[in-house]
Amino acid sequence: MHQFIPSFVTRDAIGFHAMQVHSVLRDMGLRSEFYVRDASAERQHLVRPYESYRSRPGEWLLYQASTGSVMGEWLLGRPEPKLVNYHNVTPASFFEAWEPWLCDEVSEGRRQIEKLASVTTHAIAVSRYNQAELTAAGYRSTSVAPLMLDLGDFEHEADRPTLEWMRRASERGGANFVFVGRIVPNKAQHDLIKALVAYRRLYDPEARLYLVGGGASPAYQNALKRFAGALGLRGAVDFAGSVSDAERSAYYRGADAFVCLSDHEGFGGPLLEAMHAGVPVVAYGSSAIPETVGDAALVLADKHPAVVAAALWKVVSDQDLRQRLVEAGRRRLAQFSLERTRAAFRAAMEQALAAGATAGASR
Amino acid sequence: MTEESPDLDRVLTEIQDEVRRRRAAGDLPPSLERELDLLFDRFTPSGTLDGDFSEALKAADRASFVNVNVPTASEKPGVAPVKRALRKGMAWYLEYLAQQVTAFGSASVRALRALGERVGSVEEQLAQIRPAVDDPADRSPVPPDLGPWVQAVTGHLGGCRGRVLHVECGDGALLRALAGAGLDAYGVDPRGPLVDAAVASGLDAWPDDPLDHLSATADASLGGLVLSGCVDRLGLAGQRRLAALAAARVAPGGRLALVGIHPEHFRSLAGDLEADLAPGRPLSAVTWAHLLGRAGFSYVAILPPAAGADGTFAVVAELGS
Repeated sequence: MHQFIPSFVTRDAIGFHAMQVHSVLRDMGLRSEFYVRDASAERQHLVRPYESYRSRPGEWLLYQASTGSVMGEWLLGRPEPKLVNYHNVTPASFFEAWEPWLCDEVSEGRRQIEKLASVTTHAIAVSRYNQAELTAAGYRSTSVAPLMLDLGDFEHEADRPTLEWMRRASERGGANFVFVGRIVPNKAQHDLIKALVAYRRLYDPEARLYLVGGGASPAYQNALKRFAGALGLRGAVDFAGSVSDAERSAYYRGADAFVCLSDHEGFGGPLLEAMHAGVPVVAYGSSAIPETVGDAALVLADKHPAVVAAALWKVVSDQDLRQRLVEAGRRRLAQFSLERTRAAFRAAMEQALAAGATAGASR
Repeated sequence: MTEESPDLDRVLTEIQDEVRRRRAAGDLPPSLERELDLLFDRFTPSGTLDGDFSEALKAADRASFVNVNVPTASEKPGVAPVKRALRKGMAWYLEYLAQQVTAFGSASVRALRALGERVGSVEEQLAQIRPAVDDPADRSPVPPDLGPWVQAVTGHLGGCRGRVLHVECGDGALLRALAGAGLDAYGVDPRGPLVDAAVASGLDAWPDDPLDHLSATADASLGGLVLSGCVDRLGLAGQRRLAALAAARVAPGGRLALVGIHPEHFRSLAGDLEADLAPGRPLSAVTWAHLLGRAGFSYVAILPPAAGADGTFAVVAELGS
């Protein structure tokens, strides 16, 4: 069972997941190699170019699907039995106006997923939300196994200069709200800024918003900065950019709440990272977010700025609620322990292999 | 430390109550959220606005010039001089690139203008072959009289949790009653002057097309929904779509009220010209009840005629929890 990964990089959730998949497959007694389109320097010794794959009898191909790729087209033509491990491809509609070039790539990704349905034996989704997309795309055999995360990767000593900087900013008072995620339209950072406006107006004129994450959409990021500037929030909205693990840890340490108003998340890893850091979570209940957070976050059906502001105020001012959310978050994390998620993935693989055996018997 | 999870339903109810209370107290002007949306729209690419080709060309023309004078201000000490030095040091390279990119942008816009003119010419020729199906000049709007239904609609929606939307709210007569009943109500209407009047009287109202607005609203995000006006003008496909959107946008347990004109009363109101040329026409109460039930509403009822409600009817519904 060989893994095919378009881009295999370090400090990437899918990259870690793929390493765990490799380990699970080995535990199951299956020989497994990595075939990639590109890989970071630290992983070069582990991988082979996907075009170099040479088939042997009885081998399966497992595709880590998260974006459009020439690898996806190549796999369509392969005769070997195939599995898809689906991480979700963000709908192109989110990028249409902002980054048309990315829209084409993403659209192609979703088309590839649909085309793979008829030639894939089994698909494993990282969430029931993603599973529903697979079913709608025509996959006949699917299962769910959560993303395998390294919760230990959430533990880093907080960067002292960042902590000190946040502390100095807090000297004037005011709550700190943090969101961690790439600056892309589907993560709706503009709605976070609107909520901040409402919060500062209604409850706390010194509240601050820290947007931690690199800009993957220059047009959208530029619009956010101009938006914040036009609202007079230059000093209240911090575009932290891509940060180190230690700096990210510091942002969580300094946060009064983690707030996520994304319109689309295939899983939402930072939500769990916030729970690990003991930060209460307020989130808009879109896509896979409710499934990831369970009842360990304040999940809103409505993200009008006033509603988000009131929710954040509730978390900041009600210490009992705050403490219960933090504790619920820590209990929620247990559902994503590596032991549990590895077991879930192994069960999904066994189901996939059984589905393949059935399909083979019927051919 | 307690192992007990928080009662999130109670907390969410308290949040909705808090929002309602703050809006009623005037702490959050109804126009604030709309103003935030409009302000952000100013920074979005023209593709996110309506499909106005000439505006899109103007925006492309403006954007085709690449300005290499990047801002160098910074709140962090010592950063601004560094930025200025970098800008000065790289100016020779950036200007070289900018000239080429600007030239490409200008050439692209010229090509788009030429393309737009050719498409326009084709459209003109097509229009001569096939006249417009619906000429707005052939008809005048026939709004239903909501007055007799205010009490019944407000009563049906009383206790709705979350936002209550009135599509097409007009100048806000019903919206005012809903807000007065303590509901977190807002309205949309495509008629700008009426919306302005509603806003001027302190109501939360937005200029927007009914179907566009409902399409853009999140699933299960409304506690209540009132439909009027457009229900009588849409064609059958639009009416079916409206029913489906209503069922998708109302939260489980949420309520809907629809006020429409009796089909037989429509001709007497609109006159023969509009009645014959209108691409859409009113449906009966029974038909609306059927469409809403098919769309997913679990409880649907046609209200008894209200006093003074000649020619109009009301259908109420509730979405199962």
